[in-house]
Amino acid sequence: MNRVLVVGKGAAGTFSSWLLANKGWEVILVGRGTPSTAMSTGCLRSQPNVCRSEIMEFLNNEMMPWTYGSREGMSKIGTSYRCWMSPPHSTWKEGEAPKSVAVVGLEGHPSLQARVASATLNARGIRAESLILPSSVPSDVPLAASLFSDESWETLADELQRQSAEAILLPAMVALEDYHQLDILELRSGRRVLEAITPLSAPGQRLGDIMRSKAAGSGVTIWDGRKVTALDVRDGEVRGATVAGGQEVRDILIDAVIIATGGPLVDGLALKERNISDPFGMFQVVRSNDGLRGGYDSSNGMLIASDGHPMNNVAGAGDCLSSERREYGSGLTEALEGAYLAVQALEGS
Amino acid sequence: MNEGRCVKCGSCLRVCPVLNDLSGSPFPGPRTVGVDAPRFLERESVGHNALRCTMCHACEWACPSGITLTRSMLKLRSGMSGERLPGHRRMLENISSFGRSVNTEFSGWIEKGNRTLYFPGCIGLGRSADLTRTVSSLLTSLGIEHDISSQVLCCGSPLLKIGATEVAEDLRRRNTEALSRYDRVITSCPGCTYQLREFYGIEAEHVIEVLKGLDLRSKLEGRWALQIPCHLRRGLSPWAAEDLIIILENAGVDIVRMPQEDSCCGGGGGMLSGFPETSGSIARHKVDMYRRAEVDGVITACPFCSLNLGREGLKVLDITEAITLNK
Repeated sequence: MNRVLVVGKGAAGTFSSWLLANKGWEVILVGRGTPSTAMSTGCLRSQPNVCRSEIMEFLNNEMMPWTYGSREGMSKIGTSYRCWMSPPHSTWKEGEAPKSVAVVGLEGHPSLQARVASATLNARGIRAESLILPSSVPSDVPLAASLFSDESWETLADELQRQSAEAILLPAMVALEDYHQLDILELRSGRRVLEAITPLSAPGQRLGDIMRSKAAGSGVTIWDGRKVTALDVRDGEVRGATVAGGQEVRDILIDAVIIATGGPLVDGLALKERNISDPFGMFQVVRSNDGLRGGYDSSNGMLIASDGHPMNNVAGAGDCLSSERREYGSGLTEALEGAYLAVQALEGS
Repeated sequence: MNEGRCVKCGSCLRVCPVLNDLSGSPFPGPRTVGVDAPRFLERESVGHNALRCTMCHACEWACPSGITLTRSMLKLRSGMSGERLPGHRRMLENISSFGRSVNTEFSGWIEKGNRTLYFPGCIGLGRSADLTRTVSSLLTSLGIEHDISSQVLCCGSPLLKIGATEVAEDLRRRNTEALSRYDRVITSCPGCTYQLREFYGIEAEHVIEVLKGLDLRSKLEGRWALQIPCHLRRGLSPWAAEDLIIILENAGVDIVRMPQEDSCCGGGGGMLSGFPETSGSIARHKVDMYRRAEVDGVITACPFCSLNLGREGLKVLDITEAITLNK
């Protein structure tokens, strides 16, 4: 038997699940709540040093191609955003910034603060004007392309055609299955269509959706809305796990575990100084005054047990690990690289 | 409660079926009602808005911090003062007249002293009496001799949803004796199952749990989508919701999987009686979506889903109407 339990359905959890399933493991991926991957900007800021081709293959999706290299985009308040990998409408190749932009905002909706963004862009030397469109979407409701009919996309294209600007900056709102709408809008309006870089919004959701569907497509069993409440450890090895979902609780037998429970969210690690309480009560936790560095202690990818010895069959990946070198904006790339190393560690154990 | 863990990510807003139904309700959303109101003592100003939630638990599933938003909202409801909504007043009148949340004119009682009780729930004894007969004969064909007792009243789940906690408690007391005559309780409504387990401590089984693993077949032709009941998937057990799909696929039904198959139909949480326009609007949007997918109909396992989607003219079958025993 080679059954592995992966805990956490963010970047590290889905990527390690996908890698393991492709290597012939039977994978159960358990997770609850929206992972921070799905709250990110949906781009990779830093270039991976290891497993770059695996990451590119993992993220490859027919509904949304990716662009790579030195890319630059605009945030929803008009500031500059640099990254290595992004959806095609989010960024341009460095040095090819548009000279003029019409910033689309929706009346009474906070999805893109068009006047603020225009002012910032003008200050950066990019000629910008705001175009505030009427909207019936209440400010509390997250903007989504699914709220718009085909007709409203046509109306928007007509409206944009009248703009003199070379490019249009839109609020981030298209889900993965609606991504083609941006290509159609570009064709119809004759303007370069850009989507504002926005965390907690559609781009992060798309990234999460791609990762999840890739894992599911490789045969990973995804147990949504369920939580691992206990691990059965004997002689430095995990043999089983207790999983709870709704009113039901199940005990399962497993041969290996990858812990990828994430970082700055309450059910992963505590927000307050990452002063985590290990939900399983069996791994060493490194506490640090630096909020970005605390987490589980590990050695060559394997978690270290409370008795100081590395576990035989438990690897860790992503933001739940303590880190010596974590840099701002490197989280997603590190999570993916860490997942690759965790899988290598398990395979070598 | 645990509302203080909110990180303001808005994941709950993105998945809320009421908030995202633009033609429907002025619901300020799960974060305002389920997280902010209890924390900042704005209970008074929330008013009827605390009742504008279908209790589908989608926000709880989306919450990265594990906040039990539905429980928060239920608590607000139980502490609510002021006039009740007309539909909720009718529900309370029905309880005092018949002991059930809807007007029931059921005639198919089986009271033979069997040790198994089939608990159809109020909808099953009222508007969905046909479904009750189907489930009953299916159970008989499986060799499960059972009673359908006229002595057993509403489980109390809809009363908790409208904030009438004492009435729910009273029903539990009145049900205790009648329920004590049975060793096994089988239901066809996930809401009743949840209530019987949580509120009565009875290990009630939803009919899906009875059907699991049996040799079943289906006479259904065409392509069928699913309406996965909220209280099955996010209430009772996500594994039971997966069994619904496995049972149908093994019986040979051509199932069309859709991303929104587990989003709420709008019929739960006292919304069908309290805010029928909102319930109807959410159901209409779901039905439009099913129609666009060109399916012949939808299979579910909850009488509220059947009722709410069915009234929009869609063909809706309960799982027990979709399969038969392979003999």
